[in-house]
Amino acid sequence: MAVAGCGNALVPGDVVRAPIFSVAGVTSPAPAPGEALRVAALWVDPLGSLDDRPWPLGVAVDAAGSFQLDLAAAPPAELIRNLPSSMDPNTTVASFAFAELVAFDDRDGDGTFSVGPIADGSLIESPDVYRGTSAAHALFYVAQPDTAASIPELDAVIALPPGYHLAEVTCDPTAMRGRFEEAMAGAQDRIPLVPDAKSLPESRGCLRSHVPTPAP
Amino acid sequence: MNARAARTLAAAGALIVSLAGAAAAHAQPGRVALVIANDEGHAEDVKLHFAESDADHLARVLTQLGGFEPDSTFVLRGRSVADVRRALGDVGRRLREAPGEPLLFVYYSGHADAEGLHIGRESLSLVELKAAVLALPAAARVVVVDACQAGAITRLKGGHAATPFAVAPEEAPRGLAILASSGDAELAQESDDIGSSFFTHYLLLGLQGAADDNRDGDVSLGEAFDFASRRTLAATMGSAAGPQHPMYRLDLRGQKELVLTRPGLAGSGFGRLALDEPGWFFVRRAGDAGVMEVVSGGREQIALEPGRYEVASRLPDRLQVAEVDIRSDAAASLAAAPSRRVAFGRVVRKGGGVRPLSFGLAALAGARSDVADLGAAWTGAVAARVDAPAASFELRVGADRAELPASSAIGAPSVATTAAFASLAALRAKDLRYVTVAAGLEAGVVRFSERFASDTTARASLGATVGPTALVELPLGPRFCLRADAALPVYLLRERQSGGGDEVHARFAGRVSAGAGVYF
Repeated sequence: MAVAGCGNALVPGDVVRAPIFSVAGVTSPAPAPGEALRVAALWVDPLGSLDDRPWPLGVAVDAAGSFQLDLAAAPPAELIRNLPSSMDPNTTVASFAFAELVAFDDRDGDGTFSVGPIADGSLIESPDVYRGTSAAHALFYVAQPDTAASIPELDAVIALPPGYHLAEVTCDPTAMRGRFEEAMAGAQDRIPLVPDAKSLPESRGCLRSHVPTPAP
Repeated sequence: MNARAARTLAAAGALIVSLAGAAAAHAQPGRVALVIANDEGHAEDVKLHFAESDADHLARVLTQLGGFEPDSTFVLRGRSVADVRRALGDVGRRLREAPGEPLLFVYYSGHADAEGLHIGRESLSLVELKAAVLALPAAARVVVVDACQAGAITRLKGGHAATPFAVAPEEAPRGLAILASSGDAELAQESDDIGSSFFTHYLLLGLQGAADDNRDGDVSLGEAFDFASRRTLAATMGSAAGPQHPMYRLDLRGQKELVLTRPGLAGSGFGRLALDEPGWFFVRRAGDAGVMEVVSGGREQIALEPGRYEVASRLPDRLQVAEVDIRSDAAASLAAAPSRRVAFGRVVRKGGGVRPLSFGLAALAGARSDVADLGAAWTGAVAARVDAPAASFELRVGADRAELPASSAIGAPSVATTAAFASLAALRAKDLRYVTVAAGLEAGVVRFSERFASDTTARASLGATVGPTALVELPLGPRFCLRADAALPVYLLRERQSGGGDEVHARFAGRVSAGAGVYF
């Protein structure tokens, strides 16, 4: 027993696979019978320079339209954006990642929602079909909280402690800009389904076309 | 006659009757033996294990090979001094009835000191014993005392430390010979390995033929004592109690040697084993604990009670074991008996002093079941083992590696877990006909190192293991073996909790492995 107290604690497999964050919601309407509807987190670069990337696999939407996206680990390092200080480019003032919640028809059955390079317009890779985006919520992962109020539109979220945070989006359609605040605990997401589309709609620009400018 | 005396004589009579059925064909009417043994001594004496069984064995050899008629062989086991005195009277009457020039053989095995024999809680003084023997109407008298400080009896009128012993071949032997198993300040020792006292063991072995130096088929008093004294000294040289020097006092005259046994004579009921290969042999009768150790020049024959015997030959590079059936009044050749090489571990467990310990190394590969939901593991280990007669101890050192695959659905990273372990197993082995099985308990320590795909650093944690283990071993000759192991270790680990914090948990697992081993 004394030996068992030495070193680090072992991380059991069930703890490795235990969700550290979950997002629950519904699609509206529920998927049609036979439709392989899934919801995925599509990680996008708020600075608009990195390609969109889904992670992890999409979660299936049940017949009633409900889904729950569980996350057991932090996003891969390549999805995390480091904001350099305007005073010293070698200093990072904040690190975070940002994801849209996207519904898609998984027609190839691989569970993945694949999007082409941003340089080519972030086209959806066939045969999957985009079916909607949560207009109300976005997912954030804070690796290093922003203590310098670098991005006023995001600071209400990226200044939060490290970890996942569900953000509520207030979109100004005229300016195509969104404002992000932390959602209330237990908030349910709602994804309005749209007709089949092979490219992401312009409306998602409210979430992503904003190009934050680091504070001086 | 009191009740105890009646019981004594009844017991002696019962033994006489039991021996009568196996009376040797070459009985010599003028021979009378009194065999006395007592495992118990005075209050301060440690209980002996083999004194009384040695007496039984000697009585059988005397009657089967020595020409002592069963009704002239008095055996007193665990009796009192009064019983001994009465038996001496009975012996005297038998001697007076005996024709010719009778021989008296008196043997005592038990505790003693420089003053007397410890017969149970009582003492019989050496002076009284010697006087009683001298008073008996025998032409020749042989007294053998296998006891601590037995040499004192040879010094009642002066004695001699054992040197090559011979009786002048002049005329029929007459007089008194006293043989003592130890010096007058020495301990007489027993051995669990041979299941006997050292001196009586070698005296019997000699009487059964191993002492027949001149190969004439007869074992004389001189040959028997010479053999027994040399082998006793050699066997006790390295013992904890120190070397045991048998002594004698000899007042015999005569033209002929005093022949005690005739192991080469047919009709004794014993069979004969011809050790017709030079070597160092350990002879054990099936079911017996004791082992006879014989060094043969290639021409020795020993007389053995009928039965199945295992004869192990210790050669420089191996052990060779033959099984020989000894039949009454028939000779069996060791060279003609089929033999096999035997694993050293098996020989050690049989005991007998052939080999006190054996050492081995083994390399193993196998698998372990899941521990802490981190996945099953491939495992490799090396094991170093010491086999002792009662138990085996094995140190096992190894490593295993498990892989928990990533979960794409929830983004959980893959986890590669490497565990290095060291354990000590205490095993009790049983040798079956073709395989050896062993079971016991294993305890050790384990160091887990977890490496997450999402992280470049590894987490190290220590734990303890304990649990039952078992193995099956298939010997391939004396040096090599194939083996399969199984264990059910319980891992005691401090674990991260999903809700935060750490707790020590017991995790049950199973491990199997197989491999090959070599013995030294």
